[in-house]
Amino acid sequence: MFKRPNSKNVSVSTIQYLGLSTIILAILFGCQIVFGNVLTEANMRVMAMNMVFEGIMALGMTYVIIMGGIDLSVASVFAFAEILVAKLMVQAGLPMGLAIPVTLLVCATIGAANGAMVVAFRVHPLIITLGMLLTLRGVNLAITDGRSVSGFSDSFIWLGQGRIFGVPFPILFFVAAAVVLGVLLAHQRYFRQLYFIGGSERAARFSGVNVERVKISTYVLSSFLAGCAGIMAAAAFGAAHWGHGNLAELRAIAAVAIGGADIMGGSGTIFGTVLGVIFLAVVHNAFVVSAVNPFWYDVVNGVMLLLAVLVSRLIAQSNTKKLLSIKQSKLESSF
Amino acid sequence: MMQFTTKAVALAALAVTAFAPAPSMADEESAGHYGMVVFLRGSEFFNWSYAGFQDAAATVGATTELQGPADWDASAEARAVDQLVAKGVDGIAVTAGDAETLVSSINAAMAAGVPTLTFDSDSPNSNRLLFVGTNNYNAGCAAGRAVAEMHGDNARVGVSLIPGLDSINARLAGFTECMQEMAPGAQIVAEVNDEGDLQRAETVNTAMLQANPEINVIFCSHGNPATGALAATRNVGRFDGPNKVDVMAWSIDVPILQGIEFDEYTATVAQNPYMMGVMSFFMLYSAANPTQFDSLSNPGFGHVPTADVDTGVAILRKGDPAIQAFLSPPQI
Repeated sequence: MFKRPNSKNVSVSTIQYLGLSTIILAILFGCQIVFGNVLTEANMRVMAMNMVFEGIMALGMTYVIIMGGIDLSVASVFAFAEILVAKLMVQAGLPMGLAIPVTLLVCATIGAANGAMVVAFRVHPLIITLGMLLTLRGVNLAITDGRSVSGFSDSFIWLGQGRIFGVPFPILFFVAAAVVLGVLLAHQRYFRQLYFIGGSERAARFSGVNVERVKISTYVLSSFLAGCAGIMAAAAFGAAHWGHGNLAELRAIAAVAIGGADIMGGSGTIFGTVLGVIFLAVVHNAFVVSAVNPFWYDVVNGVMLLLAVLVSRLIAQSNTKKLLSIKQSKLESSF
Repeated sequence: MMQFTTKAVALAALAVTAFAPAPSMADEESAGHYGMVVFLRGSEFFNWSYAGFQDAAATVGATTELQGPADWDASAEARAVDQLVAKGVDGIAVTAGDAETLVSSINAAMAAGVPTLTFDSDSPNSNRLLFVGTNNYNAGCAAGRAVAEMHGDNARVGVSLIPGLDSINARLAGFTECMQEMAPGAQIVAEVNDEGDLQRAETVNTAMLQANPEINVIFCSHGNPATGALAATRNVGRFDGPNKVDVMAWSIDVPILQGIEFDEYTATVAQNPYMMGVMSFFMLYSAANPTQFDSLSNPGFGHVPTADVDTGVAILRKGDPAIQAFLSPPQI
């Protein structure tokens, strides 16, 4: 059903990944040579922790974007998960083992609501998820009165601050999730359907793909991962607050786009997104170690995002042209 | 492919080197490198604070940098503190966008031997060295005395506030006690919740003035409602003339200061963000450079007060030279 990308396409994405990896390494080593204090254990850990929660959200966003959708609500779901798990444990007195599954279930339900509305109303997901973003932001403020919730148990705090072999738990979670989701996306038939839907939803529907089910389950996954990130963030910061993760949805989308995914759907990989996340983390770190005015940070990210989108659109256009020329030659040969 | 890779590495390395400022951390003659972390980075208030921090550092040959998010995300501030510790700065001044969120990062910084204090917004449950900022009770007290001076026992005050915030509660307590101490007949007639929103402030203050025509002063207990409160006085026809309602703002934003010069606002409670920056730096510098005896409360660090440092407020009225100073934004 799904053809593997031809060798020429593979080489184009490989060039993209190599280019991005080269820039990342150049910034890292360039900063180390000029400023020092970059390739230290402490700095590498801080650098990784700086983007890990956005990174987890970006993994789910990759699936959504490949499918041709967008999920702006992840940052609000992230803060909502923080607040809900905190309130369940600190104020309702639920044990951690119950509060976490309940929170994740609620987050998954929010994702299901996003997906169901996108499918049922046939409205662009930008609008549906923007509505959810604003609704949840209001809910987060209203249920906390603008105050933070804190006072977690040590076992909960471990989820954000604990380490296994010196590596913080959220980073291990990110790596494990990236591996699992990467493998599923590359090899599992159900998830390969995302490329088909993203490329042409109509064609996918005619081919018998249950587009509605795939869409809803993808938004569920996105919200579920945002919920996981929110729970670990509450543990990492020792508090839940409505303002946490503000604009994280844009950083997650930027990571996916910088990683080479076509924002119009149909292409992208988890590996590319991981590179995009690393790029954002490294650029942010470069600004701190160089003490350059951080006002320029968003400029660099924005320019990189525009470049990435430009490159992915050029690749998509060239692929479309090739496809059309193949169709044309087939038509001509049939006459 | 190799040629492409080599070129890309060379270009990126060149870019990093070209945009790099002088490597202050590596400068042996430097008196240290200190970081300031804020939320709402770029706001006028924190630009003043950073200007004070920077200017104070320059007097001893130290260097500084400003970090933090351009929004309210306190978790991004926590990450910025972690990042500065990893970088190896000599001290950090942070204003806590959320008191609890910053606790673990401040504690980790102190544990790593980086003196860390809070300014403007405190994180009292953390192990920070001390807090440098406005004492809200004292600031409210200054505002209360100013109202008592203006209207004496005839003061009838409406308060625009956000309920439930400790800082505003303390301001209001100071305002009430000090006003009534000077003018026992003065009263607070009504309190309205402006929700920190300009339009909401206009609506609720208009309703308050209509329901309580005896009000002759609106006390804005925080930075946001002044413009809305002024609009409310217009809405009820008491913007000027003999029945004018005095609006006391709590802001050093340019439109408010200009409004004072144009007789729109009666006065404003001006905090001193520049001094917060200056005092924050000198406290950190002292903590990072121990003398013969260590601090008793924080062994390993130099001496800083254990009590908080109150940078105070001034009540600015028309013609006050400080207004002209605040109208010229600092260069950072």
